Amino acid sequence: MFSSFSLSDIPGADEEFRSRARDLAASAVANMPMDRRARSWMGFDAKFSRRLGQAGLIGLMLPEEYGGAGLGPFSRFVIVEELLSAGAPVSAHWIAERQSAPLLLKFGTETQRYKYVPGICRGEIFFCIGMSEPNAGSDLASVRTRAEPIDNGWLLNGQKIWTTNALHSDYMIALVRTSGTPEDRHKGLSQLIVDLRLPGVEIRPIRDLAGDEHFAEVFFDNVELDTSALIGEEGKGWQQVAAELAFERSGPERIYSSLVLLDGWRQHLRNSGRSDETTARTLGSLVARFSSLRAMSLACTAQLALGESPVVEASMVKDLGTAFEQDIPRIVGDDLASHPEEDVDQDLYKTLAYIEMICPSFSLRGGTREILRGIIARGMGLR
Amino acid sequence: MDEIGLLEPFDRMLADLFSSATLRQIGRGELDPEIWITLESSGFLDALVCEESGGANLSFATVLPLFLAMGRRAVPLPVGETIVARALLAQAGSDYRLGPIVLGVPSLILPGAEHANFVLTEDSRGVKLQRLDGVETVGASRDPLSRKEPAIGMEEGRVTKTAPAAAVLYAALIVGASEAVLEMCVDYALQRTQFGKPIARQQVLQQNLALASEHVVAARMACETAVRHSSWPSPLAAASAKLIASRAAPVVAGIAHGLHGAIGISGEHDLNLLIRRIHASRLAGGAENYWAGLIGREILADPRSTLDLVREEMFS
Repeated sequence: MFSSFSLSDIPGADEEFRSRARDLAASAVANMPMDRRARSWMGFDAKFSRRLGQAGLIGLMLPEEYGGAGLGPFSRFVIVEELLSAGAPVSAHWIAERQSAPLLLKFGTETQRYKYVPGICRGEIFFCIGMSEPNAGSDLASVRTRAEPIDNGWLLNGQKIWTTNALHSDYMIALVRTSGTPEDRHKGLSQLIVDLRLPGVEIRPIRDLAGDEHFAEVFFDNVELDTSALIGEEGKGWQQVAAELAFERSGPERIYSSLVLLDGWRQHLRNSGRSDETTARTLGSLVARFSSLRAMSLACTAQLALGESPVVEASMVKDLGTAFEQDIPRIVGDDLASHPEEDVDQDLYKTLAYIEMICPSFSLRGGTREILRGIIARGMGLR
Repeated sequence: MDEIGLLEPFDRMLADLFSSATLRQIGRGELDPEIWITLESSGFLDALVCEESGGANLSFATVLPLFLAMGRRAVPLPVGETIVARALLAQAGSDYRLGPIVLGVPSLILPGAEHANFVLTEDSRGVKLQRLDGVETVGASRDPLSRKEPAIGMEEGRVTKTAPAAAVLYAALIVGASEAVLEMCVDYALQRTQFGKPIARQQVLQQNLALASEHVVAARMACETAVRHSSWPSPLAAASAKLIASRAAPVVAGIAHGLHGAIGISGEHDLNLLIRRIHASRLAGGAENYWAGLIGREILADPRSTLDLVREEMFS
């Protein structure tokens, strides 16, 4: 079962990006408190993204003629694990690099590619993804936001919700209905690029349970788009979104979200001079799990390097990886609360409190645990 | 020899030697001596032995698929143990063609010891062989989970060359047997009908099997990590492999039995042949906490980031 899924080494040429990514990440987080570093995925820092772009660390796997470096996915793997391990704020360029640019390269026109992709690689153009709606979460085919064909373009009306980075992004790639009714399900959906500065677009940030405002509601009231807004074919939005989600879901980066907390806790253990067997077992078990997950991520990356779309395998990495990310605050919390005699740094406690509250989102973003296991079950021939 | 060229004849041999009926016979303590003669003459037992000593000089990474295959075929004899022991004996310049050998690592049980002639132990002076004749075994005649005393007396927690090799072997046996169990589960789920449809259509069952398969894949990756970068498994990566595989064992056993229902509890059903090996391999050579403690003690004072530590100690 899954026997073609096998461990691979990182090619030496890709390893060479490590020190550059590490240095930039270190400078970005130098004066950042631990709980801000723990926000890495959600940390929006346009300046940092531009610095990464200037250093040639964004879009390495995209073709050179569009501003990338034409390298394989291992280069991105190296950079991503360095940035996330340090807790650098990657959110600004993250979505555009990972899925918007590959989507435009696969389905977009030459004009669209040249207009957006080089800017994405420079860390200057930011995208958000308009999929979820109030009544369309995991069931994406029931979107109701509608774009009516008009002379020279589209008239867009409706609402998106839970859109990460909408407030700070330049464009949204929205999945909308261009024909038929919600009952037609997969038929009649299309993907449109929406310039978020256009009249009729209203963005209301949603405060999350940690007090942050990374996602938002986005309202469209008679927004006029020209014909060049359409990506790919009218009515083929569902198939295109499936391919786009494959870019997102085949990414190997779903294991690092709580590493800042894990490293902070390890520092605390050293400061406290812990050497007891219970602590050793707790730490040893977490590190072994991380190691096996990293091996799975590398195996996934190797499949990407072969031009495959390892959606089933990546779902395994993500389901097991987010369980690991969510176990870290539970286990660290149990450990620290079971040693009331020790002084715990405020920074560490705030990080624990933050991760503890936000970590349920780790197994929601990019497809819930239940959706992922359904994908794996299909891969096993059960459905 | 390429890996596929090696695996196919090996697996065919195992299929011939270890039918379900034979596995049950061996479980009752009846071992046909022809089985070991066939294994001996196949040459596979010398897979890890260096060329100068007359072996095939294969790497641990090349032999891992053989260990996985033994897990899938629920092999109850110490075949993998003998492969490891022969390599260590040959390295020490000792005679190694001595029939079945078990590995004397610190362990609750030594699976297959009732069918072995020798136990290999290792201390700071090197490896040595001890005859198993006359040593008391617990329930050896009926229960493959027999326990032999020579395991006792090893220095607790000391990492030898034998221990990481045994850890990877037992981990691979868990993974191989678990893969076979998962295949049985999928076949059964597609064929068994309840409430007017195959039980494979039940979402809860799909979700459970998906989870079990994740654990098994993670354990296989941990095994691959342990053998990838050096000729002999490195202690920390081998510890991880045994920990992750041992952690998978009860998940797989629980989900597989839940899915099979009462038929899985019957002695006649083959599920128990594999599940028995999974439990035995988990308990052999230290389970989750044993290896977690070893890793933890090694790294508690280490100032490197977790990423660097894992990269440098397990992936290079």
